[in-house]
Amino acid sequence: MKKIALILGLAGMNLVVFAAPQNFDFKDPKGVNNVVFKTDAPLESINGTATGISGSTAFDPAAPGSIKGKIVVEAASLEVPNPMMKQHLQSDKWLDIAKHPQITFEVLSTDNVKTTGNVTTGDITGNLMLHGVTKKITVPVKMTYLKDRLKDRFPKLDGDLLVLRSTFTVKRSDFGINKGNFEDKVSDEIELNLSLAGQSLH
Amino acid sequence: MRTKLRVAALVIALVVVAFWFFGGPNMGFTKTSVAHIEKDPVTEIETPRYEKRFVPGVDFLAAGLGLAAVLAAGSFLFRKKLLEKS
Repeated sequence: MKKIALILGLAGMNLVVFAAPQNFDFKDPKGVNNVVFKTDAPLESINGTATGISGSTAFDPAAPGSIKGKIVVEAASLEVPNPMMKQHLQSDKWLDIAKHPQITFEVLSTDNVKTTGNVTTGDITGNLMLHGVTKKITVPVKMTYLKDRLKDRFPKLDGDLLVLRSTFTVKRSDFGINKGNFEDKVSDEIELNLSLAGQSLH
Repeated sequence: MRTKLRVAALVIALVVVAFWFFGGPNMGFTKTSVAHIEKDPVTEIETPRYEKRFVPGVDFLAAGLGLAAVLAAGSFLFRKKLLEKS
């Protein structure tokens, strides 16, 4: 009888463990994680990429809408195809990376969650901190949970992958980035395209 | 000297326009690196990777044509050689 109780107890503990959210680390060793930004102004169209991404999320495959966490982008990792443009972008007139070295997004809540198979879509509301200004925004997100697929990328590791994708637009004027200036070359609206993969070890 | 400067201006203008045209033609500013996309087979994430390549832009075109214009204008500072009458 004691054995049965012990087995049932352990089984119950396992259920609790499996129901708990998994922690996904977004510092990808292969460096595929990226944020692409696009500005389309009358005189110039600029595309750039940031790859210095870290952060973590707590994600429960049984309740994807309960996702919580924070993504961090190193502002110095922003790349554009012209060195002078990069210098300007990092200067105190634009992103001022010496004062504001990180861009962060912290998840507060999720709405309109729909799950089909291993893919969940929803609208995530969170705090975006850019150029030292924090603003609450809501962005559409697609989350793809890849169970036991970590070993396909790293054969020596067992675990799961979580891929997050989102495309949304922010106004640089909302974040005090050279507000009202050079809008013929750098548009006020900046499109951001996030493609991130996080890993959770078993 | 007049003729030499004008020929030099013409050659520079043609070379600059040809270099810009066959290098793109890029309507933006000059690029020193170009992104190509790599796709991760598992996550299917597409990542832009930058490789060093010089792609002349409209600033390069303007600077080259400006130099040609300066040379052509400079040619007018030299007097035409008068033919000696025999």
